[in-house]
Amino acid sequence: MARTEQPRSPGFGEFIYDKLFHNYIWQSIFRSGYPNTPRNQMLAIATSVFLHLHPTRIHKTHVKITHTYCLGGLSFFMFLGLTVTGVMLMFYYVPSVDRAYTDIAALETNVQFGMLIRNLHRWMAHGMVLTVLLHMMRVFYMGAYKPPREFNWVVGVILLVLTLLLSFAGYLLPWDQLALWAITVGTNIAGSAPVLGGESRFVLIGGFEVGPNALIRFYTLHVIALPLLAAIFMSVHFWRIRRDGGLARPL
Amino acid sequence: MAVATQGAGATRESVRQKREREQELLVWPDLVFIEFIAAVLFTLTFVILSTFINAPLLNIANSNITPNPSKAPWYFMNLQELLLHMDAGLAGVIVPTVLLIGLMVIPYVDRSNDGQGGWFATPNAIRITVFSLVWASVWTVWLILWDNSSHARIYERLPMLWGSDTRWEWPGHKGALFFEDWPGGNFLRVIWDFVFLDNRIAIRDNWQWSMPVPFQPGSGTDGHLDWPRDFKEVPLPLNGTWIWNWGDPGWMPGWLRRLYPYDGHLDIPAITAEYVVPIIVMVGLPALMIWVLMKLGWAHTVRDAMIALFTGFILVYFALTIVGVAFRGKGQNLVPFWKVPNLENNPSIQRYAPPPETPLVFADRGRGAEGHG
Repeated sequence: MARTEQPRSPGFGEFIYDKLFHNYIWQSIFRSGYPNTPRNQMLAIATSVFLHLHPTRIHKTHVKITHTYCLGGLSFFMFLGLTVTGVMLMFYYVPSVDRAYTDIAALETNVQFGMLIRNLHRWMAHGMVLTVLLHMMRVFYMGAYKPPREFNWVVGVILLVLTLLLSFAGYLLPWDQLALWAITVGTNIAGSAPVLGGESRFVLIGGFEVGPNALIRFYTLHVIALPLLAAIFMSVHFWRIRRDGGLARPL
Repeated sequence: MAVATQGAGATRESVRQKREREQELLVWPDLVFIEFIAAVLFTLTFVILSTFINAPLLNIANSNITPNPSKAPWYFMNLQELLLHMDAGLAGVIVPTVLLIGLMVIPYVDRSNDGQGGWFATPNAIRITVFSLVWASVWTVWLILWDNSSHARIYERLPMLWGSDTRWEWPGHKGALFFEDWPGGNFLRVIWDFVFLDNRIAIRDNWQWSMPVPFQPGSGTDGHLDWPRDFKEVPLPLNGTWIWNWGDPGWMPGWLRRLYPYDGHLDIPAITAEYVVPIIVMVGLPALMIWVLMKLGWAHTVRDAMIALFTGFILVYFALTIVGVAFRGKGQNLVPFWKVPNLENNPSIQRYAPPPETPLVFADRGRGAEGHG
């Protein structure tokens, strides 16, 4: 099995392999060659800061696409994609009433791939709302919220709310008619709450109508407060999957 | 693992599944490669999508020009649709709050391990799901049409089906009816009018009845209790103006003043139309569905009830979204989807297309002024 430990044959493939994986720089980063023994494959997962969220071994039913359709993973993938494109958009966008709209328009016309980045950000945001909803449906119809995973379902519902709020907060930022009136309608819904409706709407948009204060509040919520909260709850969500024994499967 | 039906916590360890080493795969390469391929596929899909479909950007925000209709983002259109059918506080805050709490408590209500880890793994799961889908869609569509008075309008136009020019009269609109002279005929007429109501608001505005009473508290002294007239200003107990009179409690701090209903009155017909009827529908129809499922012998366990309720919730969530996005035109009127205005074609808010030589001029104040009228 331990092929790398055997004396090397003089073949060209072995020569390339050796040069690629047994050089000083590669080994300083990854410590070992390409993981081609079970032990090294487990180590590749367990010792990687990016991959160690995974267990080193999983049940064979869990790699069937139809078991999960990757929906939770895709939601996380969308979140990562939105973070990357969102950071790029932040380079060009100033959240003031004077500049927001012209910045977006300039992004579309004056920036290389600006339109593509904005499109990616928008469609991934819609995609994330969809995958999160579908993920919830998958978990429900599979009974995957059952013991011992009750609390992770609750965390999931919180993440659903955060996803909707993230998308909603981002909706205002282009500062066009679509944004202004969608947020006006949306915050009016929040303002219709009994007793403290008016107050909560005032706090949300920083005034009595959607204006400069609302823009800076939604921007701050959208780029730091809500993503941070979502990241915290996501960490708990993923951690609990491991602690609760991995994905659900028939008892 | 039969012990798992007991409460959470006590059996925490026992419900963790034993793992057979020979049924396991290594995460590297069997899982991480699937994840990698999925990430590549979806990156490509979104890049292609984003290459061909542009994100919308309409004219610059202008609080003086209100687009008609104004719509929330699509995932909140279901709430906006609910707003048309009940009080705003109920639709926009109370219902979503109750639903979110309801979602969160699902695992604490359904604590069994029946059907865990497999798609629709309990015996009747699929037929309960299908039943709930049909039940919820039929009722949702019917209720939206009913609140739009569509049932009466369709009935009136039925003769058009066979080419006749006459119009039938909706039974709820008829003048005197033959049974009104019978003993108890007036009561029958009240029932008749209720059955053939135009819509929900008609309970408040158009439904009328009168009942002789020996004495009358509050408004009116004609010896009759009339719906809706005598129910519109029902004083709250201890409101400071009814029975015991005391002045406006200006000494109260503002927050307490807001909570105390000084001179408070209830508009019972409005509360009926805006709260009571919607709540009865929203609680009663799911309850009726569970009862029917139990009578059919399909639903036996808490999990079965949860499947029915969750499916109904998902169906209503998406059905209201579709109606809100695709079937609400100007003034939020119910229209066919081809008559819903496309915002990008609306001259008051359409996207300003800059001429090529001045790409960054967005002078639209003159155009905006046209929209004021």
